[in-house]
Amino acid sequence: MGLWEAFLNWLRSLFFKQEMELSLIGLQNAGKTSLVNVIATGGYSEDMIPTVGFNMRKVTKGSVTIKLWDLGGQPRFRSMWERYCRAVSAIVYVVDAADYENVHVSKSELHDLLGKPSLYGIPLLVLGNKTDKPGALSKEDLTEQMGLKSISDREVCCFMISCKNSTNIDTVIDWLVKHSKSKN
Amino acid sequence: MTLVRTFRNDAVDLGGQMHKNCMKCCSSLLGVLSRITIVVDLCPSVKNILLLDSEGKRVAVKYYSDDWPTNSSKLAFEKSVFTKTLKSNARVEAEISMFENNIVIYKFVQDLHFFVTGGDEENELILATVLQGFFDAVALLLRSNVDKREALENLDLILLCLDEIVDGGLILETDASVIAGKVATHSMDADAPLSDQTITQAWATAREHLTRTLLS
Amino acid sequence: MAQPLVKKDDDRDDEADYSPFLGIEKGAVLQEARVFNDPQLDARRCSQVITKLLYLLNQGETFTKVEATEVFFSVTKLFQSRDIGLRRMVYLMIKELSPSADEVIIVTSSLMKDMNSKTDMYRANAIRVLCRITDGTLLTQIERYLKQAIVDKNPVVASAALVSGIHLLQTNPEIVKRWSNEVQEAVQSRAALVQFHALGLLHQIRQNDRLAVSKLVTSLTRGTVRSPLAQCLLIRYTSQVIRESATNTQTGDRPFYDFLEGCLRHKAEMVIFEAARAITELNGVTSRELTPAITVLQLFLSSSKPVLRFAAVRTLNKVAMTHPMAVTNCNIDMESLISDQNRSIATLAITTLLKTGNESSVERLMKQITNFMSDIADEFKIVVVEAIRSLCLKFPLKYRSLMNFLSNILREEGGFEYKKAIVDSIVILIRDIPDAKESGLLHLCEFIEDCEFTYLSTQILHFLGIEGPKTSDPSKYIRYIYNRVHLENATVRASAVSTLAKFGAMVDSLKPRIFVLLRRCLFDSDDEVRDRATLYLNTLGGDGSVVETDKDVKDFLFGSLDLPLVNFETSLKNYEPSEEPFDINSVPKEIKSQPLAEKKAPGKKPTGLGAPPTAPASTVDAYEKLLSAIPEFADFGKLFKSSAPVELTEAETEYSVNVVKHIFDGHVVFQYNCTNTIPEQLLEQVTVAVDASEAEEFSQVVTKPLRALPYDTPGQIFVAFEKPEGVPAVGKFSNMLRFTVKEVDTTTGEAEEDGVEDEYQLEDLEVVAADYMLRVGVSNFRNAWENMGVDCERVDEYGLGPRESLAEAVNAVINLLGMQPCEGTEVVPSNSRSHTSLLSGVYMGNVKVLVRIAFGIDGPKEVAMKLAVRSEDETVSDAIHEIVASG
Repeated sequence: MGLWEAFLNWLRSLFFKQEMELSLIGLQNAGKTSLVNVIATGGYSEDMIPTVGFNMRKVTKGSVTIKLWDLGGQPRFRSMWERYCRAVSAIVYVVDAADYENVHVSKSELHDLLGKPSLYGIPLLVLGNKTDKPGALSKEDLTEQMGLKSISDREVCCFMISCKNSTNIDTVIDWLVKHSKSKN
Repeated sequence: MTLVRTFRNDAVDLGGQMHKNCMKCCSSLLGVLSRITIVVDLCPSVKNILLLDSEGKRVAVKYYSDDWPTNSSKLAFEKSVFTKTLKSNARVEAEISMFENNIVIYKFVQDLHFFVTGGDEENELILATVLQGFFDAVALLLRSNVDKREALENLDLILLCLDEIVDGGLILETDASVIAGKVATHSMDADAPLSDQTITQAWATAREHLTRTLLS
Repeated sequence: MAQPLVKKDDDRDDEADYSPFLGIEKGAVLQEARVFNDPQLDARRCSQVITKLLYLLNQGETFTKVEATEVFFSVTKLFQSRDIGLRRMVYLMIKELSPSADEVIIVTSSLMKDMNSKTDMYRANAIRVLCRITDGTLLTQIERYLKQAIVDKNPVVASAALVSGIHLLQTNPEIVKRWSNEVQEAVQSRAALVQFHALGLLHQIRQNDRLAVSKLVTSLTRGTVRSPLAQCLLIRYTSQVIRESATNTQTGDRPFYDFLEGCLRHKAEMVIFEAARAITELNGVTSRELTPAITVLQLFLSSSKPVLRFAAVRTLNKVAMTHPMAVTNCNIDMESLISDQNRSIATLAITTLLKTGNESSVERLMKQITNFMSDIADEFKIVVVEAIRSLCLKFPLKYRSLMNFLSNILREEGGFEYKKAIVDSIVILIRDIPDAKESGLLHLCEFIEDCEFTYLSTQILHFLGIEGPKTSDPSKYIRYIYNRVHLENATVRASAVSTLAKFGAMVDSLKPRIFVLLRRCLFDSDDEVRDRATLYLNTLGGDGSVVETDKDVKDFLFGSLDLPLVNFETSLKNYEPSEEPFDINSVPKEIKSQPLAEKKAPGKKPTGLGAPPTAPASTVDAYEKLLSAIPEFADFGKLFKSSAPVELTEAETEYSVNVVKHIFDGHVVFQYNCTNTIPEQLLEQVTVAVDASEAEEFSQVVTKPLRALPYDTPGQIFVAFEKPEGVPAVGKFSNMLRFTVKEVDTTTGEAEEDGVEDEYQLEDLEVVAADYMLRVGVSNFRNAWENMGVDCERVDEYGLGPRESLAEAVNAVINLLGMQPCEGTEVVPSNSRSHTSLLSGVYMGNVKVLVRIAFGIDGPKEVAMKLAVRSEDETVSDAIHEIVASG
């Protein structure tokens, strides 16, 4: 990026700027990093290496700049999720809808996290990923199995998506943009 | 009391005996000795770098050795080194002394006292080169006025400078201009507007771009 | 009133004491660190806060676990900023905070991204941080990038990866060893420091493969090494290769010596010095090899740089210990260094001169030192005193001026350690140089007239009590001793009373006077002083009571307490006051040596200025006591000699055993000192099975096994042999440690019931001719030689065949005979073609022996010698020749 271009971007953003900060969490191999890539570039790659720690990505969609904390899903990182969810605009929780065996683990991790007082009231977006796979759970089943109905202290929304086929990604972006806070 | 002394003397005696006899026999002994020397790491190493003020207080210090495990042992070492070197004239040429089986090389400018410490088997001139690298790099970075006040006001540069000279006791770089160059590319641009992060970022990007062009 | 004070403070704040961190406070800074969590980051502000945090850490401030964790996680959020300066501060902060391993892993992905960034600065620094926090599993994931980084064209990146590799090799050697191809490539780098770092890593990867190291050195010493640092490394590796190959190539030129010598002409001083030092440290270095190294070091002596002068004089000081003659060429330069502003340099110069000086220069040297002593610190003075002590033992004829010097400095100001060093030196000189006794004792007497150290006063009084009565005029010491009773504290007074009593016991003519003085002490204000006076008056018969036998009195006064003090103390503490009096015979006599840990700890070296090891004092007393406590050895007669311990196991083995050979007239006792270094084992019924089939004249008579050998508590086993009386029988003994081993539960310390019998092979042990010779010096060899006369002289010539050097041949003969070299004649001047050594000793049967050997060397290193022996007994003179002929 050249100096001039950066300068123009800055000028532009002074007028139209909207910002939001999101945390992207969920068990390992749920497709969090893939989702970031799809949102950012539209590209998808099958074999991703597991995220060790976190990735920070900034994505601009229209006049909205989205700051994404994409956190590793392996057990050793789960206790640290909370630290990166404080004060975000929304928590995006990704679930592998085709991995029945681990849905209950995913559920208990989610509910543990939402129990933290520091995260009270932060909107939650649950994404059932991998609908392209045969036998993936339906939205109703996922809502049921994840116990989303029982969450009453915040706005909760659930979409079924496929990063691989870019299914429903637009809906996700729309939801996100709607939840961005306008600067100033 | 007598017994303790007796044993120590035995040890001394034994050492002497071994040394003299080694030509004659004791091939097993030679084996042991050479095995020990292999274990000894041959890379030059630095035990600590200290920058103190004219009262012996810390400006910035960095320890790389376990010889001083606690803060109080570090402070005690600094105090002894500072007091014993205070009167020496280390303003033109670096001076040198030994403390507790360590070699300390030092040089002073204004109210700043620079020290580099190494083990007593270390090549003194290597340690002196490290000290000179640190000393000159700080001079380059602080430009106008190399004194305590300036050093504290640019403490980030001093700390980065230390980080670029020695890594975990191993010598990383000793050329002052290279060290200062590495540190300076990181320094904040004092003229940039302070409040808005986006323009700071734009500047940073531009600077990064320029640096890359210049370096490649 | 308060106003001017406030104003003064203001002034100070404004000027001298200003600091941007004035009044900084941890709590406040931790509050400020919340800016790291701001959605809109202010990079400059964040950098400032990090600097403050680093300042606090640097000042020794500690963060609680919670504080550190909180700061760490907020710092990780700064990875969103793309400000280069801020990122560097983030790296530093992560390294300085050193968070726990399970937390720090959170930044791995971010660092991996930086490691592959286009910005070289990010890459180099991210590699260094990442390698510091990574563990084995993660390392395999990033290994690919690190290998690339090692051969990266940017030297900063390559160096970062290489240095990190050196650190990682300690924890994950198997992974780092896989990088040797890349490292090998980096050794060829054009960038000076990359080559240095690559060489360091490559050598560490291959350090256990001698052949590989040798190949590496061979190829590099032929090629070009760019950086001086890399060249220094190469010199170190070369020395290592030389050391290890030395045993194989006894003949011919030393491999790689030419390379080292070539480095003496390098343009960088650090390389020249490294090479010179390496040459001086070569095993068995010859004077021809030494010369060029000494020449460059000599040039450094007159450098304007103190560091250079120091390095050179320190190295020469070490050389002077083994090759004093090689350093004499530098004496003029050394002498000018005595006035060097840097006192470390001056001290090293002086102690070097003391080692290299010859007899004729002693007086001049002492004059120079006298001026010097007044303005150096005590620690340096101690080094000088120790050097003077060994000089005096080397040139006993010069004791007068050296003793005067010591007594002069004893009178000057100085701390305890310094004064103690001087007193110790005088005591040693008195012991070893008979002529020095009287003047030395008087110097000590004068010293205690005005001595502020109770410890030294009591030590000197004790010493006076032993030595004083044996002098020609004991009465002259009485006044000094009695003065103490008037002028000193109770401890010294009590000591003085004991000393007076010793004079009374030994010198009959003084007895009446001593009684008068002791009676005066009966009115002392201190209990101990009065008690002692009463006791001694009683024992010596001064109170009119029946006098005990002379022998009893002397035993009481001079015999030392035949008990280990530690045991005695324990017994006294355990004694409960009762009807039954304390029985001194109930104190165990078994000696518990120091615990293993203490013995293994490397002895603290004397202040590093190359002080010589202190002269070993007689250990015979201690052994004599130990042996006399064993009834089986009671009829062996008087102990003639005890050898130094000979190790029978290698270091760091399960059981550590050394042996001391005790020589009696018709017996030899082996004392095996054993230590069990395995906490999980208890050894019982420990004994040494000795096979004496290669020692025909010896037959085993007594074995004293050890009932139990617990962990870390040394114990002794004794095996005694009979041998023909008065014959210096020699032989070889093989030893096997036999025992029953029981498992020990280390948590409870309890041993299992059943044990297993086991044995452990020890190394062989030899009794050699030198074991029958005591190293006893004479102060004036010529006088002693003349006095001995030619009656029992035996002279013969011997060829020693080809030897490595004259010095080596001289050493070998001295060791073979086990005699004391006199007048420094064990040192062979470099380049000498001939040499004469004067030796003295006491042979079995207490026969004094003097030996004079003239050595000569001819072209092909053939050494011949003419051996002249004089003794009080011609059979002994023959025996000495026998030793040489059969050795």
